[in-house]
Amino acid sequence: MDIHIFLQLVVNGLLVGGVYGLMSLGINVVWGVMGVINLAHGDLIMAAGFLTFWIFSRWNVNPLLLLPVGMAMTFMVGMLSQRFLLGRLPQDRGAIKSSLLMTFGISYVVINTAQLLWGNEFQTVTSLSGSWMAGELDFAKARTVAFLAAGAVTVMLWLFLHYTTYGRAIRAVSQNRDGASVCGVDNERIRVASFALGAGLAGAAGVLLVMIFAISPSMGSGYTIRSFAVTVIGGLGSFPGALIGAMILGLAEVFTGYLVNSQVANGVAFILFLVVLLVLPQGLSGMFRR
Amino acid sequence: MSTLLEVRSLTKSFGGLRAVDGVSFKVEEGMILSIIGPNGAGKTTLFNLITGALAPDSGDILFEGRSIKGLKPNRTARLGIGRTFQIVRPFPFLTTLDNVTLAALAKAKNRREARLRAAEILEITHLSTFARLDARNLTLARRKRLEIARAMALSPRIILLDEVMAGLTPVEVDETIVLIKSLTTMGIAAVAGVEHVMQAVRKISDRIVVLNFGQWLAEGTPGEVMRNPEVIRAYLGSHYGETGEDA
Amino acid sequence: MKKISLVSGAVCLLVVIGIPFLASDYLVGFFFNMFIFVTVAYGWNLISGYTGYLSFGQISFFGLGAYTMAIAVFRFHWSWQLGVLTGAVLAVVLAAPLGWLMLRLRGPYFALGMLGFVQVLYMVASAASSVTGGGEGLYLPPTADLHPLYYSAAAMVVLAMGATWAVERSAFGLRLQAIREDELAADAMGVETTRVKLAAFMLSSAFPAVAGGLYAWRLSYIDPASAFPGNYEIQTILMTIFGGAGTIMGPLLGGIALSVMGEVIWARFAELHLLLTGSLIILVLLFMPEGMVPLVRRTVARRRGRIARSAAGEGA
Repeated sequence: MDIHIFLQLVVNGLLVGGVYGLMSLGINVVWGVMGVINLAHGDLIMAAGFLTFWIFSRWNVNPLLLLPVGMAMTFMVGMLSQRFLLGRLPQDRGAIKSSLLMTFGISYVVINTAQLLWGNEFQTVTSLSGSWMAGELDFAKARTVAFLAAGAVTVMLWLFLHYTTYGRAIRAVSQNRDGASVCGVDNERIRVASFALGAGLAGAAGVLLVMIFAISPSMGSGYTIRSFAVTVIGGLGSFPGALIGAMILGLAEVFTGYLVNSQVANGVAFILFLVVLLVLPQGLSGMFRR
Repeated sequence: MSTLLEVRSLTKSFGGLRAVDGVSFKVEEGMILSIIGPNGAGKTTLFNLITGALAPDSGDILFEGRSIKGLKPNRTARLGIGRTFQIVRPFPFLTTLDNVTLAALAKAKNRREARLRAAEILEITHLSTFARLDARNLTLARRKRLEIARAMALSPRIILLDEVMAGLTPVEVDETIVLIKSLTTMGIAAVAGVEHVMQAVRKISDRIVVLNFGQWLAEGTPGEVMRNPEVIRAYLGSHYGETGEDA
Repeated sequence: MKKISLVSGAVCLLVVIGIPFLASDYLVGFFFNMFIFVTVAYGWNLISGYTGYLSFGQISFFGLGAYTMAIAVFRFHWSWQLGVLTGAVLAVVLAAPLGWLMLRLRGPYFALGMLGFVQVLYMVASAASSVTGGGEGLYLPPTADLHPLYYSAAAMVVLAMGATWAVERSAFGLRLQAIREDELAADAMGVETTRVKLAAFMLSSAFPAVAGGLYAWRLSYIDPASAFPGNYEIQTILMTIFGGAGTIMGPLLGGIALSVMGEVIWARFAELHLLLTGSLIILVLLFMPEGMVPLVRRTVARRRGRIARSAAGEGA
């Protein structure tokens, strides 16, 4: 392979990886704190993307400015879901299965709502076309900006989790549920906050994703799989792991897309997901946790 | 009397913690052996190693003279090693009868045969009245009896009883003692892992092994062990009240 | 009680047999679709209801069955019956290695894995256009007579119910339920969990595969979107949960209830289909998570005072 092509693919993969990392952080938070798998995650990403497209196509607003808007929408959905639906499930031994099924149901509500509001077609946001050149390498503007924005959001998330009371409470609960409640943490509120946070992060990812790719309402589950693949590769509960996993997935998809075809590239996430779960269940971070 | 179960220098560590450290002992046919030791002494880990739920780091386990190291729990169960869990785990939404029938399936040819055997065992363990009740609706004492009934349904040669008397009233403890003693008349040996309830231990055990921090501390008849100064020292802090009368 | 169910069962059977001669083509089509859904639901019931492994990927076998039948007819000119049968066989054969791989994964991971597997099959179906017709699909000879399809579908439902009944009273069935209740304890009680789970998984794959084959033949067309219909998974899961997962009558009752509801309500609001289905699942999980069958059973038992009597027995 030509070295230029190789490097170009690496660049593309890493840039996409940034957004994938953001996608998976939402999963990481919810899973780590509550042990809940949110099957609607990818559909929330998609919904935020569609909202962005819609506002952009009507009023030509810079999608970056829509980051808080998209996040707010999915944040609300997440908060309401946890408070009034998921939170109402009995917390017995069947809780994981029931919440799995419920998020499955919620995902369909989200998909259909998106279809009703914004149609069933593939859409994308074309605000940023063209690329910046660094020597021979092509840094597509949309991808680069999305990458940087994803990085910014990630940093803000890290600050939130480490320097605010709510954030620290969330981390406490994810590490030790009972210990946290003995220290005065209101578990129920934290669950709502965490789920909402996870959903909000999905929204952020969606806003950025629609700048790069064309999305359709039915693509949600593909993003759910990708988010989980990244989380599993990196190891649950590990931020750096998730980011590395995201880069790996981004690179794998881009290279597969080039070497085979784009349809197979869509399946790469699933294959990686399976391989890691079966071979390295703790993910990459598990390897270093000795 | 031949050796039914033999544990040789069994060791298991978790990270830096030696949960079981070079433990050895033998169980003869029809014997009741009690393993005592304060919490964290390694009793449950030991049971997990014997049944195959955990793999030992070193050492060996011999059942009926053959090594069973590396066999999985469902294999050892079918070979004849039954066990109860410290935190009882009946199948909550299955009936009491079904709970025991499931275990009987290990040796029975079909469900009907298993159900008959299960009904017999429910008689022996005084649980017949609750045969059609979902297991989750049983009181703790009855759930513990169900644990034993399930283990018995495997038609085992030995049952490992993990803290089977914890949380029971004195009356319930006595009933359990009778049940465990009846196991020997049925030809089943028993290994009881116990932390508290020392009076019961004295009443049922043929032999006692004492563990402390995963290591073998002492072994002998109940009388010998209870008078052993090292044993008393290991227990004195947390069990002064119980061993006080022996000190 | 037994006599009532036997009589009502016989009556239902007669009705089912008689429908094609008495009812309009539209109604026959409605029942056919219902039978297809119910068959898939019984498959899901086996692996998820009885064994407790929540799968979101039954539709992968559905699509596999559909494509196998279509390819057998289109490229090898086999009869559709042979095609459907081959689809079932292929599904069970594929389910062996797939199950061996997937069943190692705990609850949510298994669910995710099966969800992803559907994606993979969709992708394969789109990509292997020389075999599957790719995105354009394959056109099959149109079916003139609906009756054989109808009866095949009805027979599948009876078969599925029979198989579920046989499983529930067998040793195999008890082992499955034990795995669902507590896999670790089941293992400690001598159940060969790996083997038993795999058997359930393989058995559960046959039903959606046949359903898919019949469905594709009715459609006279196959493409990735129709082989892996986006709403089938959630609908069949909803049916089973609504009726009662892990019961013999659950998928049938839930299937009938939801098909009727669908005709009356949703057919008018087709664009709201997924939304209503999703909402219904949420409601069922909140207010009747065990489904209709256990609810009915308990109401009947309560009326007969059985619960009061066993509570009194507790004092023994």
